[in-house]
Amino acid sequence: MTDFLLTDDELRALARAPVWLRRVRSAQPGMHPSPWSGLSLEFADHRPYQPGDDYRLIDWTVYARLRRLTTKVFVREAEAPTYVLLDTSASMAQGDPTKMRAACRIAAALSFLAHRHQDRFVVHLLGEPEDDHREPQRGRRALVDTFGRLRHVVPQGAGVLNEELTRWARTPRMAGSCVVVSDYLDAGGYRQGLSAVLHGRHHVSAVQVLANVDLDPPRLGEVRLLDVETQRNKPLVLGRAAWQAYQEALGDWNQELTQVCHALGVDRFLFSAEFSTVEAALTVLARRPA
Amino acid sequence: MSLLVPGALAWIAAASVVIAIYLLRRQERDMPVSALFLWERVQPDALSRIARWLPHADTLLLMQLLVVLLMALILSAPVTSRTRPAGATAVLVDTSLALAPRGRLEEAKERARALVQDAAGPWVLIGWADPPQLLVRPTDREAEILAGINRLAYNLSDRPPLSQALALVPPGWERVVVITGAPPEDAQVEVARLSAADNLSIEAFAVRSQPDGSRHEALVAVRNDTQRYRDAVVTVRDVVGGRSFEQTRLLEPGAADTFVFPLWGFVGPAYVAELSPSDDFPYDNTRYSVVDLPPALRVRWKGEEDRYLWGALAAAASVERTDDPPWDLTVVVRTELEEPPSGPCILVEAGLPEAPRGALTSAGTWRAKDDPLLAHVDTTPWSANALYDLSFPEGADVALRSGDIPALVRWLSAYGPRVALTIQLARSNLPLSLGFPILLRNALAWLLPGPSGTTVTVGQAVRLPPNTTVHTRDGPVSSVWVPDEPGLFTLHQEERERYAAANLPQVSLNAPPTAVTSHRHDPGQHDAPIWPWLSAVVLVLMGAEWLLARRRGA
Repeated sequence: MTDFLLTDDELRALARAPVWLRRVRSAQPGMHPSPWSGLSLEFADHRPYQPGDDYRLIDWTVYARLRRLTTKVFVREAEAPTYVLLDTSASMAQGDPTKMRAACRIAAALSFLAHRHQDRFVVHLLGEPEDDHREPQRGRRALVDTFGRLRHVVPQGAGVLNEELTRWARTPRMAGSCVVVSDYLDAGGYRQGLSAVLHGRHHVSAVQVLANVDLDPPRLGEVRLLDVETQRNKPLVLGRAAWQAYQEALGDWNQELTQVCHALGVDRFLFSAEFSTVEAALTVLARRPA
Repeated sequence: MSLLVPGALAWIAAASVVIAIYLLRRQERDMPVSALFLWERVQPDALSRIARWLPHADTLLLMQLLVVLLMALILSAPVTSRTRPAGATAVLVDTSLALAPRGRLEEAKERARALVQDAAGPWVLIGWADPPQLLVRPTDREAEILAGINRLAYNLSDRPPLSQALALVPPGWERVVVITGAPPEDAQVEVARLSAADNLSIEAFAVRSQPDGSRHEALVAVRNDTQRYRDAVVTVRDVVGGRSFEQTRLLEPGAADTFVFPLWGFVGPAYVAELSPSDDFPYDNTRYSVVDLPPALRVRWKGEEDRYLWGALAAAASVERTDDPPWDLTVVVRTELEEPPSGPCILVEAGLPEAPRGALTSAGTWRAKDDPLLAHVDTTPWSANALYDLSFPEGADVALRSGDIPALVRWLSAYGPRVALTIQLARSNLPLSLGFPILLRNALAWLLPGPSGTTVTVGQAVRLPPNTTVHTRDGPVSSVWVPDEPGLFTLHQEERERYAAANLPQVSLNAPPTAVTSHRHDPGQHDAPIWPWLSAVVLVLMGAEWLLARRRGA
């Protein structure tokens, strides 16, 4: 898992892309426009002068015309720390290319985008509790460290997404953009975990990465299905009918994920493991100008 | 279909291996999945335990079994039996002038192709013309023999005897097929007869003088070789004089008739006979003829003058006296020469060193012999009192005797041909008889043969006299001339010109249907291998199987 991160072309493509975050709720000043007004170079509006306003913000040209004191209001630019929560359960090792590979590449791309906009960022591996205390950092060194960690991620264990997300949300963090990358194929569900993350006033994105074997399992006839996380198995004659039934079950599961995300106000994305990493990262994190 | 190696069908047992592999592959295989809970609600495809062990209709299995079956079939060397005349086949095509009628060449090619494609080979292609030609040597390659058939062409020659063409057939070849429109009777070969060609033809054309020398006439023999009554219009043109004569006659189907054109007055040296209407075979609608008029002969006279003899010579041919060489003929009259004259010579009551004149002897009863000197000559009215007892060389031909004494003798000496008349003319009625100039003309014809008034056949070699050239389209020809096209040609001999007519050979296009016996060869069986086709099917099947397996992801 050393050479599957971003290529030079992909890094160049990410570097050229302008990024506006969807919603930035951070109180720290930064480079992203926020819903609140504040001091920046970008003019927003006028409002009547109130005692206590900074004299420097009085628009004297308006006073010259209208003989009324008005104060200039500027767009407040906020910082958006990026939290990438990476599911490292054993199921992420499925597929060719594996879901883990695609997830790490997306995490790397998001980290690089945050670095480009001088935001702080951090990648938390959900299967490793000690990672929960890792603070978001900015700078080239943080990027190098992140890439190094991502190269050595090994999917293992039976991840319980609700528990891991809830555990992560217990640690107080600055509000930012939180991207949860997983296959969301957890029988225990994910709603509770996503809700816990939302309590931290983060803008949450649920990125679902599925492998080809998840989307279109081969019809091998008589097989013994083996769950890579629970080690449970089930004999099955995998033919056309069974394949269609699985497709319906997967469709229902994904539909439920979409509904939950919509209800929680979480952005939800579904990518194949073969999907372009650059496109995926920009889709998740960025908002194109209208 | 039959199998050359039936035992190889045992390879079908290899299908059991395929079935065994198939059953083994039907065992459950571990398939790791990310979320088994999604499969919990999936009902397995309905299959009973027994049904799982039975090889049901799986497309891949069926294709593999079919491949095994076909491979076993290929190994058993399957062949199809085709009915083909067995053995080597010699194809003789009539490439003579008889192949010239419109459409006949293509028909002959089609017949030959059918013969080749219906035979197992090897083949040989022979052109039956003059001379016969080996067009394609014995070969096993069908493409080669078909290419030879495509190159077939006819020439302007007649057909030689079939035996000459059969001599080119390799020994041991059991089947000989002759493709012709006029097959020979009972040729002991198989005959592929071409369809009959309608033809209106000039069978013969000649301009000749009456035997008595009274006048000339043109004779044109015309044959209606069609199934209808035809109006035959024959035109005879005098090439030099420009006159033309025409006759029209209705000819019955299959009938021949002779058109006679009396030629009064001036007789030209060359004539053309043309027949209309034209038909699919125009070669025999035009023929050429030259009049047998000897040119002015230069005659050297030796001995006594004889005005009766000179008058008869002048009546027989155009002659002129000369004492300066060159001369065409030497006439020796009532003398005995000490030196033999060179060239043709007529001796009248004369002698030579090679044939002394001898003593005068009383004449007896005429005894004539069938000899060219006496053609059209009636010796009955002849009477003579005496003749010389000539001592002629050995090997001479005596045409006429008076009693036992030779009266008319001819021979060939080292100095030239000789004709000796020993009858004492002054004491006979020969100079006054009608046969005397005819006799002299016959003598001149024997002494001076040549192309004067020559009618030759295209393709046949003609030996020209010394100092004679023929002007053809390819330039002057001397010594030996082989005319390659019909027409009138000019012969140049020193300062004189003569005509020669070259006609195409008279070739019979069709033969009576009942006159031909075809010896058809019994058809035999020919084995054609079909393993290449089966191999192609196997390859296609294997490709389809690969694609299907790949699509299934197996």
